[in-house]
Amino acid sequence: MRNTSLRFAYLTAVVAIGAAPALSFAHHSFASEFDSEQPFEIEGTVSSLDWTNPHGWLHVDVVEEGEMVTYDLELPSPSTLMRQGWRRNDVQAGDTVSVTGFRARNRFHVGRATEINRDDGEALFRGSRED
Amino acid sequence: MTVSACRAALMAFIFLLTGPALAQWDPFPSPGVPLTPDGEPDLDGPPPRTFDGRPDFSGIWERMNSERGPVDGQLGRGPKVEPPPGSPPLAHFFDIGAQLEVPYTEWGDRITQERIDDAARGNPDAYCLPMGPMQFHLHPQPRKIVQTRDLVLIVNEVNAGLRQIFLDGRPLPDAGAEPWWFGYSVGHWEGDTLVVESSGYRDDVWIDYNGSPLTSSGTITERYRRPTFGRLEIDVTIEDPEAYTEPFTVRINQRILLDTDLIEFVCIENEISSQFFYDSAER
Repeated sequence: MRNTSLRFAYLTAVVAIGAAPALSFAHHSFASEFDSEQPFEIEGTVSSLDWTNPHGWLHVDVVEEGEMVTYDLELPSPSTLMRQGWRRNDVQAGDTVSVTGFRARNRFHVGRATEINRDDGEALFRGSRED
Repeated sequence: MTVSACRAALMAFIFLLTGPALAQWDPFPSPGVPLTPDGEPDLDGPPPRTFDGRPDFSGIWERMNSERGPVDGQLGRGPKVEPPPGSPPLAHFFDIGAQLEVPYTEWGDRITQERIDDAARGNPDAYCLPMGPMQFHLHPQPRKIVQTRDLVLIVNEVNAGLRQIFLDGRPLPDAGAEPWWFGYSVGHWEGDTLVVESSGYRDDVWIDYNGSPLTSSGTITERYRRPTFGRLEIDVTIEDPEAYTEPFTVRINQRILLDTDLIEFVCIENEISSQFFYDSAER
């Protein structure tokens, strides 16, 4: 139970990050990679998480028009995520998630995740640092 | 049980509650922290001093200059924010001119605007190259200061950026020195203030996220003070006739972080974001 609650908290930490997406962009500017005019919302299955610098990447398989596609979703760095309560094993392959964010300017299936929720939709809020 | 032992026990309890979230060094008590009568860290207490009586800036520090008003978190040169009462203008990670009119030369103004218009794609940090000295001071990731009698090291978590400030009396190198991302820095004491002079920069250094430039003609003078245990003030004067018509001074405030440490950050590990940067030809 505790682990479940914590994992919800970790996932919703992304929501907190997404609340101020520009502040999370200390490595490269939001506008250099992403288009604020192209928001997306998907639901899919986590295929893997790259716990890497300078950004983590969450890979989510999504069925679109009958075809399976993989979204590559940029996250803050592991150090930033860790200070907000994440750990590398807190998102597992096979987890069903819904994600909102913004698409990359030049790749339809690459984006910046600003909100991630698990499939049961429980919304637990976790406060965050400003960055 | 001593106060230190109580703090250690409290942190151990917190660790047990939040263990899965702690994935780096376990919390470990910072040494020499002044305490209030209640046993809490007294951040307004006196700064520590070295064996020879100098203020000791050693510790993990987090930037405080994080707000700049309506354009916080965005590229661009927005409306100016009033400096706090009694303070020089505060620099901002995105805009060194958040609280003052930066005296750009025509070239300095033009290249800054070009970089803003280009979404700062050329920021060296975006390619895991060293960022400019002001960006290091103002980056949201913390930095560790290690102070000895003859040398101060600033270990920036971001990009593992290591800066050396020599206090051993050596002069700055002459104008023919090899230009460096971090430049060359020497320091001396004026009372409780550490005055650091730096020169020898490359021509392509950025001093904020917008892209305000610093060139090989530039010199930077920093005045470090630790007015309380918990605060570090750095007044930075930038002089660069290529980029700015006159010197200007901004302040950086840092707060101490206790019982923690840096987290490894090897930027080049998986730098793939730049391959998704937009092509300016497509704009």
